[in-house]
Formats: sequence, structure tokens, C-alpha cells
Amino acid sequence: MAETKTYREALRDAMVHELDRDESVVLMGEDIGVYGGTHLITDGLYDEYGPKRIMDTPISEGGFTGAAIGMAMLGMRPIVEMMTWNFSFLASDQIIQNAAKVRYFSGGQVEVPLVIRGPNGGGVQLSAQHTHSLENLYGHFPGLKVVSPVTPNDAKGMMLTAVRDPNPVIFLEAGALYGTKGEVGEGDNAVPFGKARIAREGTDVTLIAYGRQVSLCMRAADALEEEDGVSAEVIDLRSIRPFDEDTLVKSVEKTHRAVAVQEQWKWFGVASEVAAIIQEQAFDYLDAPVQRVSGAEVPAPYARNLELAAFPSEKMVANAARRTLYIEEK
Amino acid sequence: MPAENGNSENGDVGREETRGEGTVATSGNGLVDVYREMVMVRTFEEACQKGFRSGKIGGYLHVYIGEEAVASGFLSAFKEGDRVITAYRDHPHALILGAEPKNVMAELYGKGTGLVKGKGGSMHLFDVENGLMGGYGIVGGHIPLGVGMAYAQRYQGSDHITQLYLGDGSMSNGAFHEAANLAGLWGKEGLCPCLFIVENNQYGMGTSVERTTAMTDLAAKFDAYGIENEKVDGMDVEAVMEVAQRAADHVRETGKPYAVEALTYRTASHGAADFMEKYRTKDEVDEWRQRDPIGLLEKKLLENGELDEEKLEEIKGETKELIDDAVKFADESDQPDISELYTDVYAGEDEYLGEK
Amino acid sequence: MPEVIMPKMGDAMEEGTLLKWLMSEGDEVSEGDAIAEIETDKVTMELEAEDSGTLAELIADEGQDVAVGQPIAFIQAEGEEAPSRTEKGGEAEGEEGGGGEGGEAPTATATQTDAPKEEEPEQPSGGEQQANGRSNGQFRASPIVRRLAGENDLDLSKIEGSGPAGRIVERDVRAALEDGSAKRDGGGEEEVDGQNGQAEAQAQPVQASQGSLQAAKLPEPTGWPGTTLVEPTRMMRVIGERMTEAKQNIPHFYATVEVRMDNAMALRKQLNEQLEAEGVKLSVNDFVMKACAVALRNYPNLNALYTSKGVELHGAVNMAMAVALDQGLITPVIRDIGSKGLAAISRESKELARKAREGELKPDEYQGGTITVSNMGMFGIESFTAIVTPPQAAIIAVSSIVKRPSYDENNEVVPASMMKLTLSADHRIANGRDGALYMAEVQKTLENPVLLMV
Repeated sequence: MAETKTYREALRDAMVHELDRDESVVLMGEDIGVYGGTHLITDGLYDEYGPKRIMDTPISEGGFTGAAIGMAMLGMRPIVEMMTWNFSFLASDQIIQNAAKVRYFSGGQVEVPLVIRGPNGGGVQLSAQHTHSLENLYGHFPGLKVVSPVTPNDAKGMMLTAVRDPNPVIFLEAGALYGTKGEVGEGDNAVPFGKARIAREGTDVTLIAYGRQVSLCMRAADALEEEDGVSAEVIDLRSIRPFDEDTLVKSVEKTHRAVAVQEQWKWFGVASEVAAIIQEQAFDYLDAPVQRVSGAEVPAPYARNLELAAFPSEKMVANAARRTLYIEEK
Repeated sequence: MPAENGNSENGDVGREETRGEGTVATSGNGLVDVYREMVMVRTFEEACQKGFRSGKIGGYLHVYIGEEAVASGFLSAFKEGDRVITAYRDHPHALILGAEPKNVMAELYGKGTGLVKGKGGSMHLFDVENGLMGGYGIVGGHIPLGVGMAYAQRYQGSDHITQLYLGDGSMSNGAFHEAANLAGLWGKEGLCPCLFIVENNQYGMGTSVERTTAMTDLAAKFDAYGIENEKVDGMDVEAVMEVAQRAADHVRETGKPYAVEALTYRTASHGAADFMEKYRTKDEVDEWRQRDPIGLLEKKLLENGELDEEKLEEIKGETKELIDDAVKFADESDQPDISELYTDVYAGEDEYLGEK
Repeated sequence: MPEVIMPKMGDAMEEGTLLKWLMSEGDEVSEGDAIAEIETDKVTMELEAEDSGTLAELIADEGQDVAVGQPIAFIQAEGEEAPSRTEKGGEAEGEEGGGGEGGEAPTATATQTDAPKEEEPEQPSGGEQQANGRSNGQFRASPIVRRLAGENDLDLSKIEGSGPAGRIVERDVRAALEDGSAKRDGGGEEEVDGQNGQAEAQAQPVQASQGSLQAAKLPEPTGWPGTTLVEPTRMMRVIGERMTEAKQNIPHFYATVEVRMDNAMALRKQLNEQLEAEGVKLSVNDFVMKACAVALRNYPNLNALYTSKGVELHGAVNMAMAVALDQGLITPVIRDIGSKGLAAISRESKELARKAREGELKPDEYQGGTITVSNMGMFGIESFTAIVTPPQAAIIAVSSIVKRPSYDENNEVVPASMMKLTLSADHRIANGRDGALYMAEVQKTLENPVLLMV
């Protein structure tokens, strides 16, 4: 059975499911309790579960993230909300230096079953300091798992998986899509990590994205079909670390062309990784260089027109696909 | 409610055969035993210095020489089930809690028989089974972890406490202030049984406390976060033991954090590599050496007759043998199997996600 | 005997310099005595003895760089003997002297000048081949193109690239495969995609090649004046191999009938007048194919395939029609021709012939035939026999319609339009009697063409 829910509701459903299932699960973050969460993801939970489990924290990202790591090391399963991932830089020492590595440098003596979640990426005119896509940053570190669901169903299913994972999970939500609706499986529909989703099947070119950019690729694929008769396959990576190389490579072996799309800046990003994997593993199948579509190399601007220009557009994606097909750009 | 002990199933890392015969430290809390423990720590640290100079020990090496009374004193109040977390000057905490010197030395020598299988080195000693939740290398970075552990202990319904060791240098760090703030806050509800132990050895590396903060009363900094605090002479192990017991009992009972600033002095250099000592005078070091914690205790025990010269030599001889054996064991142990490179990156099914 | 080593005084320290000895060999030293001054990258400092005894031997010289951990002196405790100097010194020297990489160096000059030329990939070098797709003798071709070229034995120098800077891209190779150009010259087992392979695609697996150009058995070209050596095209070779195999392996038998075509011609004329408005123009061959199919109803073993597990009888007639091309032939298939009317057959056969000539046939349009008709009537041929196309059982050769004197029922001489049809059949599947009766049926049908309408 499935019912239509928003991304926000799907996330809350998953956390409620886990709060009910496992008493070691607690939620922590700024204004997640009495206030209900800046994005209302945790609305109502404080009344239901009380302050010991729905913990309002001071504005102190490094402190409460570090404390959550300590809790996790003793067997609790905290879900930490970053009000936005932009604030996680303040906690990055804790995430990178402690959460990611402590299992290794303890010789396997501890686990860190921790979820850190919050909205990632921009698109709502928040300008420079509040607009980052951090999947490449956190995806870089062994010891972390990094996921970026885009459908409400995946938001729920991957949150269930995240809470149960014995490792620190960086859960990057498509913040701009909190209100979007989709079919969500009921009950315990955990979605595994490391498995990309083929969002649309096609034969001529593979568009690879994750998070909000998947929707962009779907629209670009429609345009390509209508305007050029091109059949584009769209892959939603879902999981950045672990990374599903197989699905990616199989698709490119079929289509011979690939476009990697990301909101973040071009250099040293996930799209670069995608391109590298394709050339390493599907080189003999390529008919054109892998194209990357990325954000402009500027801090995110405020004005609407500038912001739109700073992010990948449907047209940029479609034209990148056309370049791989050696047909005229539009 | 999950068990409150360390959560790793393979936490014992195959060290069973090399430990468990009981150590010098755990044989009792009498002053002679404390003396023996401090001598053992000192001897171990001296052997480390020698190992470093000879190139057997790599990376950084930070020894505890001069500060032994602090760890010894506070760990005398340790109860089974309690947790200890500290920074990178962590050898004594591991040794006193019961890790075998040979496993600790093997770790420093980068051997597979090391306390953490040769994966952490000097700065990352862990012995979860005995309560040591780790040594950490980033100044101040471990403090929030300790506070979280204390919360977990109460959340899970136990009366255990966390002994959180930190240096004077870390108290200028944001992580300290954020964590102390949380501890005070959670302590209001009796949810943070965290005993902060400031190992104030007067210098963060080569910079004195006076040169890093205008408010040099470090204990008083805890006032800002609603955490009760006091100071103790960190060279007088008896005084430390007394405060430690009282503070630990208070924390255990109330679930509130408490802080003790132990004034001590590192008579060795900051790191083995730090030999220049431009930041302090020889006179200053000599002055503190007069108050060496082992010397003070030795004098007292000789005076009150608990020790005589013969017994003293016996203790030193036994300790030397223990540490010599540890060095020999470390030296002769094999390096970690190369396959260990890829283990322990992740818990659960995927231990490793990359290409081998 | 305790050694005095160059101490490691920093995390990254690898060696230090012995600046000055502060004591001499033979001096008594106590633990803590300064015995030398050493210099690291960071500082100059005094080196203190860690043991007591006699300074037995100074190994390092003043000014010498010594690796961390290496001995610079020995302290001899009472009663100990000094170790020999060479023991330690030799070891150190050995380390420094050994491990050199000199052995391989001298060849460098030679390889630098000669090697590159030898390693250059072979490339055709004619001026006319400097087309798009390459610069400096290198092709620009996408990886999938190189892969396809390798798999299909294509010569990329014959393909024009349509990508940027003349890059040969997948669509260029697909086009080349379709039109059969860009085959690599020279022999070798080949595999092709697209239309060139269609004859092959239809064939049973060809075993040891009996091809017409098997070098070992064939004479060398004479090279005489006036001769031209033509290498077979790929299609010629494939057809040659397949026909050789068919003619050698299939026990053919033949049956010829002469059919009076006047009635069929009259009907054709009548129908074509009526169908003109619809743009349909029936050909003689359409009548012949339909007749051959209708007649098969009673002779299923001629509409059959010779398979690995026996003779497979087919109900529906999938009629393969031979279409001549400049460089060979191709046999597109009209499926279930028996159920189709003449107009439909006509339209379909014309379309298939057009596609065949223009290279647009898809595999499912030329595969799966169950019997073949080959018509050379348009070339004025009086009669010919064809080779059975395996795994089919039969092929019918259609010759020209010739006007000849004939006798009517009154024994009067009248002109008659006559056409010879010759059946070639696989004797493993059918016997002569089947063939004869079948051809008689075809004859009867064509001479009474209303039967085609039934």
C-alpha cells in the first residue's frame, strides 16, 4: 500500500517509526522541539515524546553534534538536525575528525550509529552563506555514509535505513522539495543505501543526478524526447557514499553517453567523480566525453535572476545531452 | 533499553591472550600501590622517549612525566562501568585503567598487537572494555563527546559517570565552551554526570596560560555554565585522591557535572620533538621538579615508614622489568597484517567501501 | 655495548649533522654528560649521554650528516669490548651505495631517438586519406567507435567523422555498417552488423570455410598484362561461401515446367487497369509468388527448414524474394504470403525491393524465409536453376515469358506466352515425385489464375 505524502511528512513518518521502535533513538537540534522545527519536520514530536528524547539544543552545532557522537558511542541512536547543512561547517570537526574516524582509530572498539540530517542545497534566495550542497565534502571521508534522497518514498525509506545503520550517516534532504508530494510506501519500507534508482528509462544518453537535480533531469529528458526524439535515461544516485557504480556503468554501456548534473560547484564535485568512474569502467562504450552540468563558480547570489543563472537549468542539461549526441544545441 | 557498555561486538580486538593477569595499578588503592602505579607510568613514559629517539616510535609522542598524580588520583575514584575520555596525553589513563603495558607499547611501536591494532598510535588509545573511550588528537575536540557520553549514561538509567580529562589549552577552544554549556544545561535536569578534570600543566604546547587568556582561573570558567568547581594541587596525589572521590560521588549522586582544576606541571617537554623549551626557564622546570609528585610521595612514604629503601628498589626493579618486557614485546611483535588496512572503517556489513 | 645514536628530535627529522665532538675517545662519561653538538633542521643542541662508561669509539666525523637512529659513538661499560668499526660502518655504506638506479640509465639515449618511430601505429598515409577524423596520422574517434570498428573489422580511415574536429562518432560507424563501406581490406574471418551480414545471418553456421578464396588451394594470380585483380567484396565472399556450402552439402534435384501465361497476363492487365487509381501495378512475379504459395498447401515438405533436430514443416509461407544488388543479392521476405492478396503482395514486394536497393532492410525483413523465388525473367533468360538457400527446402527459378507458336484445341497454331519455372529442392527433405507434383500444381494455378483468388 502506498499513500500520497509530502517529503516533509515522509521524513517525520520515518522518525516517528524509529522513535516508537527503538528507545535509544533521540532527536536533537535547534528549535526542533517546542518550536516544532524551522522546517516543521519535527512538528508535534516534542509533545509526544518529551524533552529527554526531543532535545532542543542551544545554537551550538559543534557542541551538540559532538555530544551526539558521544551518545552514539555508548549505544544511543541520535538523529541530529542541522537547521541547514550550511551550519554544519561549525560541526565539521566533530563530524570529520570524530564521527568518521573513531571506529578506525579505536581499532574497531566503537560504533557511531548517528544520523545528521537537514536541508541541503539552495534555490530559495538564501544567498551566499545559506546555500551549499555538501555531498562532495562529506562524501570525501571514509567512515561516513552520505545519502541524498529526492522522492518522498526514498526520504522515508532511506531515513529508516539511516537510523538503523551502525555508522554515521549524513542525510542530505532536498530542502526545496519539502512540500512536494509523492507515493510513499506504508510501514517499514526501508530503502537500502548504495543502490541508485533509474528514474526514467532511455537508450540514447544517461543523465545522472541526485537530490533536487533529479527533477531537473526528468524535465530535460522530456524536452529531449519532444524536441529531438532523444531517449534519455535518468539515474537518481540516491546514495553518494556508498556509490552505486554498477547501475551507472551499465546504463552508460547501453546509452554510450552521459551527463552528470549537480547543483554544487563544478570542480572537485560529485559530477567529477561520476565522470571519472565512467571513463574508468565504461571507456570503450563512450561516444562522447562525459559532460558535467554544475553551478556557476560564484558564492550563491540573492537576486532571483542571478540565483537561477547560478544553478543548472533544464536547458543546460538538455544542451549538454545534445553535445554528447553531436546534435545542435537549442 | 540497550546495554550501556561499548557497543562494538568485536571490541576486544583479539587481545585476550595478552592481558588479564592483573596490573600493578589495579591491585589496590593503598598509597604504596598508588606510588607503584605512578612509578610504572613514569618508567613507561621514559621508555617511550627512548623508543621515539631511536626511531621505533613514529608520529607524535606526548608523555605525562610530572603529571602522574592527576590521572592516578582521579582514576582512584573510577568505578567499573564509568567512562574515561581524554586528549592525546593518554598513556597513563590506559595503563591505570588496566591495559597491559606491552599492548600499549606495541601500539606506539605500530604493531598488530597494539591496543588498537596499530591503527591509532600514541594519541588514540582505546580500551572500551576497561572504560577508556579514547584518546583524541584535536585539542578540545573530545570534550563534547564526553558530555554526550554522560547524557547517555543517565538516559540509559545507570549511575555511572564520565571522567572527562582536558588540558588548559583546550579551554580557549569553542568546543570546550559549547560542551560545558550543554553539560550545565543538561545537568540542571540531572542528566549529565560528567566530571571535568582540567590537567592544568601551565602550558598549551609552549604558550603559558597567562599568554592565552586574561581569566587565568580556569576552574572559574565553569561558573559561566553553572558547573560547580574547585582547584586541587595536582602534584599531591593524596589531595587529588580526596577531591576525586568527593567530586565523583557528587556527580554520581546528582547527575550534575562538576569540574576540578588540577594544578600540575609537565617536567618533560610537550612532545618528544619539543626540545627547545624556549618558553620556559631551566630554573622554572627545576623548581617544579622539587615538587615532583613521585618524589613527594616517595618522601612521605619513606618518612612514615610505609616504604624503605629496599622496598623502593624492589618496586623500581619490578617496574623496570615490566616495562622492559613491554618494550621487548613491542619490538618483537609483528606489524599489523596488511589486510587490517581495510577493516574497521565501517561497522556492520560494509567494513570498507573503496577499492582494495 | 650501548651505542650513542643520532636522536630523533622532531616528527619529520630524518637526519642530523654532527657539528662537534665535545669529548674524545677514551673519555669517561656519565649519563647526562654532553658529548657532542648536533644540528637538526630546527636547532643546534647538545647531545647527552644516556649511559655511563668509556667513550669507546667515535664513529661519526664532525660535519657528517647521520640518519636518525644510526650510531655515532659507542659507550663501553666496564669489562666490555669495543665492536669492530667495520661492522657498523660497512652496513651504513652498503645502504648508501646499494640501491642505485644507474644500471638502467645508459639505454635512455637510444630509446629516446629510435623507439618512438617504431612504436607509431601503422596508418595509411595517402594524401586523399587525410580526411576528417584525424590529425597527424591520429584518428579522432570515440571509444565506442574504436570498439565497433574492432568488432566489425572496419577501416576507420574510410569513415568521415561528423563530430567536432572531424571526430568519428557512433552514428558515422552505424551508417558505414549499414551501407557496407569502410570494410577493412584483406582477408580474415569477419563478422558484420547490418545489411552486409544478412546473407550470413540467414545461414546455418558455416563450418570450416570452403570459401572461393581459400589461399592454400588456389593458384597465385598470373599478373599477366591486361589482367585486373579484383578482390571480392565482403558480400561476394559471404555469398560465395554460403553458396559453396549449400551446393556441396545439399543434394539438389530439379524439376522444370513450362507454364502458359496468357490467362495470367490477361488477368494482370485487367486488374492493373482497375487498380491503377490506387497506384497498384501487379508484376508477373507477384502472380508467380502467389501461385507458388497457394500450391504449397498440399506440399508442406517443400515449405520446410532443415534443422538440427529434423525437418521443420511450416504452415505459413514466408516467401523470400531474391533482389539483385550491384554487389550481390539479398532476399527480403514477404511473411505469410498465402494469406495476402495480390495487391498487398505487390505493394510489399515493391517496398522490400526498394529498401533492399537502398540498404534500408532490417534483419527481420530479410530473415525467416521458408522458400525462395528467384526471378531472372527481366534479363531474357530462357531457363536457369538456382541453388537452394539453406536451411530452406526449395527455391524456384523464374525465367522470361517467351512468345511461342502453340497448338490450340483445334490443333491450330496460335501464339502463346510461355514461361519456364525450375524447382531446386533438397532431396533430404523432399523426393522427386513431390517436386514434380508441386510444380504441376503451380503450373495449373498460373494457367487458371482465378485459382489465385480462392
